Amino acid sequence: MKKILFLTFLLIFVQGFGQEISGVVREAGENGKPIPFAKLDFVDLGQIVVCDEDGKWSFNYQEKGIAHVHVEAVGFERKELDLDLSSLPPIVISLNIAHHHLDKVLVSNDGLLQREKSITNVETHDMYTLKQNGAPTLGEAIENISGVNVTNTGAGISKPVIRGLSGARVLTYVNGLRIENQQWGADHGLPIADVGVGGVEVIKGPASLLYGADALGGVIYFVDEPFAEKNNLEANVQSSYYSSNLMTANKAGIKWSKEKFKLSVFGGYDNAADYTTPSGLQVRNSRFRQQTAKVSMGYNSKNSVTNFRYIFYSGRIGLPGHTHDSIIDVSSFLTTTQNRTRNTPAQVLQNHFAQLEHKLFLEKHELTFSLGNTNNRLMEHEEKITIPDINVNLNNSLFNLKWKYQLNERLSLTVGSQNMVQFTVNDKAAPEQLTSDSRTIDMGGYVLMNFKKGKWRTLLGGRFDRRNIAAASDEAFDYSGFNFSAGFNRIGKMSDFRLNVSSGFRAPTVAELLNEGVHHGSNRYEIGNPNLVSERAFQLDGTYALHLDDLELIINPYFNVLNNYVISVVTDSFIDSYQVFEYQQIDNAILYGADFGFHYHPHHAHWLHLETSFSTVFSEDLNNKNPLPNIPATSINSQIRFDFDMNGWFQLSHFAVQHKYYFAQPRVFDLEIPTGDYHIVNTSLNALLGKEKSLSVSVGCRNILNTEFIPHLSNLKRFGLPDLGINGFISISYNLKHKLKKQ
Amino acid sequence: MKKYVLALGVVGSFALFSCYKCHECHYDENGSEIEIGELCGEDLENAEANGYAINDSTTVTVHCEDH
Repeated sequence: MKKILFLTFLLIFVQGFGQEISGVVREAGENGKPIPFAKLDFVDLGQIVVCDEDGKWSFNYQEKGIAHVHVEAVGFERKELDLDLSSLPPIVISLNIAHHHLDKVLVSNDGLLQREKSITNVETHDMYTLKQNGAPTLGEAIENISGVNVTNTGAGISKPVIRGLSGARVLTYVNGLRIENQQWGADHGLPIADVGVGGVEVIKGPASLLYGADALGGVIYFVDEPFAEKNNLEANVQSSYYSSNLMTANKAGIKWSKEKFKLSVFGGYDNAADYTTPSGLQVRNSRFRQQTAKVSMGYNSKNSVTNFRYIFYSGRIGLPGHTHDSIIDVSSFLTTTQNRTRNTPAQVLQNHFAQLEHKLFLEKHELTFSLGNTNNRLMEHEEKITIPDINVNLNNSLFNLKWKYQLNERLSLTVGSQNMVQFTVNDKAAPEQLTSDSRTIDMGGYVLMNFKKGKWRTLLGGRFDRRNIAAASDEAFDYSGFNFSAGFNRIGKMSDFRLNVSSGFRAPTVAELLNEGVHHGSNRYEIGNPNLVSERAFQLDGTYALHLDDLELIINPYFNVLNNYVISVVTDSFIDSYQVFEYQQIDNAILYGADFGFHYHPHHAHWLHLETSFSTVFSEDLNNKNPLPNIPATSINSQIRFDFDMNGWFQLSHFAVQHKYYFAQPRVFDLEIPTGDYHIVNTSLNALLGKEKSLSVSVGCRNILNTEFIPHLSNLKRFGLPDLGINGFISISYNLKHKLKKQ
Repeated sequence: MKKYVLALGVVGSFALFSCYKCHECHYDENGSEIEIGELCGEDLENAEANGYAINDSTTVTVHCEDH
């Protein structure tokens, strides 16, 4: 016990004998001039430092070790580097003048996941870029990422799909916290809103090694907005309006940062009425509302960082596709009155996500431990406004530990452990129960070796996981599995090459094993299968990326072999007038395809950006040559953007036109409905106002051609309900920044 | 500083945002819908949980959803 107490003390309170690290940022070349007000973002430490007018910066932090830094200054090329803090001050950082700069839209080697952990291509996007065409929700924003689709149930529910895999196979992380929200359900959407989210990183394909055994399809990793710059107070208020569903989206945030302590507070409220289809009729009960609050606190000591984050989300989301008509056609689900009052059937959700993370930096060691708790309450209302028919609570406690040791300049070793205890408890007062009460314990341990030499990097790792499920019915299930990942990359000045092989293992969920009852959200009767065994996957993934002065190209083919693939199969039986679905397994299946991206920014027209991405996936059950269910259609996403370089009180920032083309998807599973091809065109115009450009106004129109289309992954496809018609939007944002006095 | 207090007030107001809590309800009798009128708050909850008393001896099941 004494040893444990000592270790805990060491983790939390050990402080190095730190000193002030200082340096200067200047132009590259001999006798380069100092660059005033350059910004240094110490990414892992959560600290942003701004240089003074002489380009000097200082940072009272770590005695020794390596810190990853992003350096930016107006008129200069952005630089990303690992800074050796043991160098004698002043540390000189030089930046090249930006004569012509192509933003890295497609090729990124600097995302949090890429840099630390993954050898595969990781899509890294900031939220502003993803939402610049007016995406109203987080789900629609991430659909702009190549290879990522969403399963939606109207406008209020979106669920990520990576290369055709979704549900429990895709893990959602928020700042290192694994989120659990009954992902097995097709109608259980993303558990957070975009409030305070700065960016998203996506790993496509098995990522079990570092993120947990369930990450068979990939990982969606949301990263919060960074804390305010040191000794600054920053505030933002944003209000948006969308015409199709009369949606208002309001959010605000305040960020405060002193020498050691940082605090960010965010809040948001979205309210949408039933959405309007291209015919002018509304989809009844597609209304939703959601509110979010978020608090992040950070404390930096001499050689450690402690962060505490808490997110609250609650929402009431209407479930369209419900009728009492005796003769049912598409008109049974449409209405001429646009309503936003609460109705049934509906999902009522309440999520609490809390995480405490402590990172300790010693000269060659980096130790991270985190404690987390996620609590998801899901209530499904079938007929009664105030009384749920199903009321289930999922509580998940997590404990993770990671030790990184830099053996020498080239070789580092990472050892970690991820553990999770999960309780599913139904409210006995609710008249119905779908998922069984249960306790799930997950334990996993991994080892990772990272070797770097020049432009080459190799990564090799293995992981062992064990899942134990104990149900209230005294049934017990035990699963275990071993995973590996191996790969290399070569990061050059103009081209990158990556090749990776990885395996994945996913134990069945409680829902897949033991569900028995009506699932209102999916309008079906579900029966679990206690005989399911673990799914396994093996993926080969390659990436070639070219990055020239005015052109980016990326091609990312992959081949994924799946064993014991779990599917929900429709039967010809009915219980309580609901069609019965059963869980079954496909012995052997394959998924293969490619993502392709192109970004052109011509020398002779600095104001022009052309971007295109293409994504395709092919699936097959190897036993009977049938396709797998719910595989997204091939798509092309193109955008032309005009950036304006204006001065003065009013500045046009950009004008963009986005064209999305979805091919027909005729390859469908038994009784699944095929869909036709369609085009969508979105436009947006952004302007900045004020001396400090504090006010930003965006106007635009989504689906400007009012195209009638049904997304292939829409849960409303079987009712014949199209997606949103023409949808005009306006968004106004106001930013404030205030320098605080130094103590 | 006033600007920040104002911004904080906006954040706080989201948390306090209230929604419309009343609904038009009816019950079914001999194949037709009999309107009850608007039920709000606890009355609505009680009616949905325990039924709605249309007289001293008869309690009916109410429907308040929008069709």
